[in-house]
Amino acid sequence: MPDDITDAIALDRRRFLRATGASTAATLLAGCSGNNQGDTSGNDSQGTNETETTTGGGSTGDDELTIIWPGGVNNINPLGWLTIPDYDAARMMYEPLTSVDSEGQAIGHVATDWETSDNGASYTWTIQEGITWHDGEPLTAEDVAFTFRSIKEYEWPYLGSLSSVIAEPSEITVEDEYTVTTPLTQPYAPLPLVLADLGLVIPKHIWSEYDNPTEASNTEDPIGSGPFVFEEREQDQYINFSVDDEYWGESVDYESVSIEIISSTDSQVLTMKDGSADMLRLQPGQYVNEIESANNLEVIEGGSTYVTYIGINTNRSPLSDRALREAMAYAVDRGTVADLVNAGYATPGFSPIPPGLEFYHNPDTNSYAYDQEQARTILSENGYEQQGGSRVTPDGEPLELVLSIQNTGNWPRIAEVLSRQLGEVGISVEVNSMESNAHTQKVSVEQDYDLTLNTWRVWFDPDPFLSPVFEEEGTLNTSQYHNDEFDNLMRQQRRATDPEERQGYLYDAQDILTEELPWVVLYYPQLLHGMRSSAWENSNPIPRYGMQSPYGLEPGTGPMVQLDPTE
Amino acid sequence: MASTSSKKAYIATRVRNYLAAFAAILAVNFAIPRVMPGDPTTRFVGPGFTAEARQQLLQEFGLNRPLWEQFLLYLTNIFTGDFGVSFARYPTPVMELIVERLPRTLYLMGASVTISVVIGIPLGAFAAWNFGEREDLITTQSSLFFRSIPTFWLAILLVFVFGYLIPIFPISGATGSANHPSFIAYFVDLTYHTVLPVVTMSAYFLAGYTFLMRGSLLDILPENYIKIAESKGLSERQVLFGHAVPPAFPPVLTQLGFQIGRLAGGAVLVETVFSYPGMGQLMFEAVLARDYPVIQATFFFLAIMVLGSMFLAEILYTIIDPRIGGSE
Repeated sequence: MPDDITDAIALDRRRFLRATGASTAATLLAGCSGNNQGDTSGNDSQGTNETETTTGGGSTGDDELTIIWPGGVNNINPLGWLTIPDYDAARMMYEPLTSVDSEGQAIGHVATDWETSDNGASYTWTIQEGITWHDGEPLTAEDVAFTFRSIKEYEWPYLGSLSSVIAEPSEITVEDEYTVTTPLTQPYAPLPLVLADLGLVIPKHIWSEYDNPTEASNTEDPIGSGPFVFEEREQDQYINFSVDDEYWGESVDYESVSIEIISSTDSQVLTMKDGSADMLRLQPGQYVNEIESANNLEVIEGGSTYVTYIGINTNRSPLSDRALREAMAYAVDRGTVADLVNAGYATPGFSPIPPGLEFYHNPDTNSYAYDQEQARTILSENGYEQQGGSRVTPDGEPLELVLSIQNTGNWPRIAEVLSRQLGEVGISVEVNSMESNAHTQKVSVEQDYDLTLNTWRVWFDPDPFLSPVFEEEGTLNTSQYHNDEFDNLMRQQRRATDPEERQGYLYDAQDILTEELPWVVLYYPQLLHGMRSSAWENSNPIPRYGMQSPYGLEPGTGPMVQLDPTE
Repeated sequence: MASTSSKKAYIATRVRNYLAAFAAILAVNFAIPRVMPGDPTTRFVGPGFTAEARQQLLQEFGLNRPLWEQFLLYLTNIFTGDFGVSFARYPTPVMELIVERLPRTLYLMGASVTISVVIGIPLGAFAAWNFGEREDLITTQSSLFFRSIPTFWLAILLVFVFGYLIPIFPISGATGSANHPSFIAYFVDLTYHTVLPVVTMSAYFLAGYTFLMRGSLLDILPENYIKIAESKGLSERQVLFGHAVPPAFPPVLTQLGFQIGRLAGGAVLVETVFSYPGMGQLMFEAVLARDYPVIQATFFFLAIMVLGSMFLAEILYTIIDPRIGGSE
């Protein structure tokens, strides 16, 4: 140490400037290298392709399928699930009564066939023989009847509308060991597709022992009938299943499934790239290019049931004026937004029903190709005069709207682009960004908003979506929209026994919605999965679930079941 | 320094203040989640979720009862240790979540703080002793660097380099499998998974302690008694660590006390990047999901730990430093 430290400590100007300069440079360097996300570019080190590193849960040998989920599971109650991961976990073990083919049409699964009677107000199901529960007991019509009765008798978070359609439990009749009749409160054509989503069959011999099945979290030793048997689970880390050798359907060519829960998207992609995982659902636009460029991975696209839209509060002036909404529909450049935000992994569209529901989506409904001139003309012709840089409403108020969005993900970027596009035709839009729950509270619960942005993932059947959202009595009608003709068409399509007739009603219903525009639909984000194609082949996705489903395509099989290890 | 007449009176005053702080925290802890817009059911609102289902959930969660009743229930639960069931992770009991995650976070944070203190204090002393020399400059500049960079950036960098490019460490998680043949095996697995997170947090804390120690020492080193110690012929190490560091210690102790208390809160960003299911991640998600029971329970524990450790630190002062709290 210097002999006289006091001298050394005394600040010398030159030393001070040198030190400050060096620190500032270092800090700037550190501070500016902010968000590293884009830098994990697609130059994969070739050597890591076939690495079978045992990171995370379980081995990645070809006898195990490893799937990445972003969230954990707390409740594997097949009827009482509360979140999507809970639901996906239940679907691994419990089988739905019906399923869908690659076009989204209803096919059999636990039920081989069904007949309607009483003008569609009663269904008789023929149950597949030879299905056994994981504990060895056979699955019979008694289990199916018990499932229907349980749905009706208890309050389940997401089965309210299904429950209201089922008649009194006492009227559900088991005709014989493999036949059951379920009368309904009214004719309900959507039933088979609704059951493909929600109708997971539960074992009577186990669930009849519960005092209150709604309280069962079912995380200890759940017994289902599906191809995968629950083995173990570590909260928020992983869930492991083994394959049921006695499965009645197509045999599975691997031995186990491990679900790894990784919440960070960066880590999800890295885990796929280094070969430690086999399947991951991708958010459109994020990392899709990276997965595509990796040698050991490929991107699989399934029929999308996502729809991204501008929600409009039609009960508020001036938004109650249809002409204004029409002008907005012309003013937005859907293609640009889709490209900018989703890197092109989204298809512009107009109907609220996504094209993944192939049979019901109306491809010829009213469309609004990007045309700013047209938008301006409509506004001018309907009393929205241009005054200086902006417009006023016919009442003389300045035309200023507020777009309420969540502050997560891509919403701020989409809002920014839309706000600019609408501003160019004279509709001034201010973006109000808020936290997710606050947004739900404001928009869905209080309905205190002008415009909002959101994406919905629609069920297999359009009715459980269109009905609560656009019908006057609908519980999710945040647009406060109502149209008697639409309500009428909805009632008719629910009762239609002939599929073509039903399609006709739904096509007309879509025409009304695209005419009146309670929503200005923007685009349909694609449903994408990353698959480790170097280890797995035969990826055949279904709509809505993509690769993430043990059921679909044909009775007794499904995208996950059909995967073959390459060897 | 303090104006009380005895250490005992000093401690009594501190106890009174801490209890008041604790009471205030209890009240705020109850109020804040309920003031935020939305409630625990808003995150479930979506296709298929009926209004009746929402009402039923609200009732199950006890949110239909009047506020004063909820508050009384909250207080009783706190003092009987029954923290109820999580709303967001329904129906997992809150204690189960905490018991699972707290050890992981304490291990991560504890290891980080320990390493930082053990390395940081000598490093800061070393830098102060060599003030102005190259050793000092290198130490301070690198500390500044590690303190300035965003921790999540460093975390992502480490994951990418050591988890993917040179795959030595796991990319995510706290343990690799559920079943460990022995506690040692569990401990080894946990350690293996926490290396990268610990390195990330340590870099940040280390820089802090280095600076703190260095700054504190720079005040002490010019003092007369240091010169006297030197002239007595003591070795450099004896002067530095025997005579200079002890009086320079209180600021470090304050920081340490405060930090130990906050260990339970974990580091949200780091836990998120490493998908490390710890307390930080739990608290963050609970706030987002308006999970009142989890928010209340975790914030309560955090408050207890912070207040407790700061109180302990204050007691330690009175023991170590005769100047504080009066004589006798």
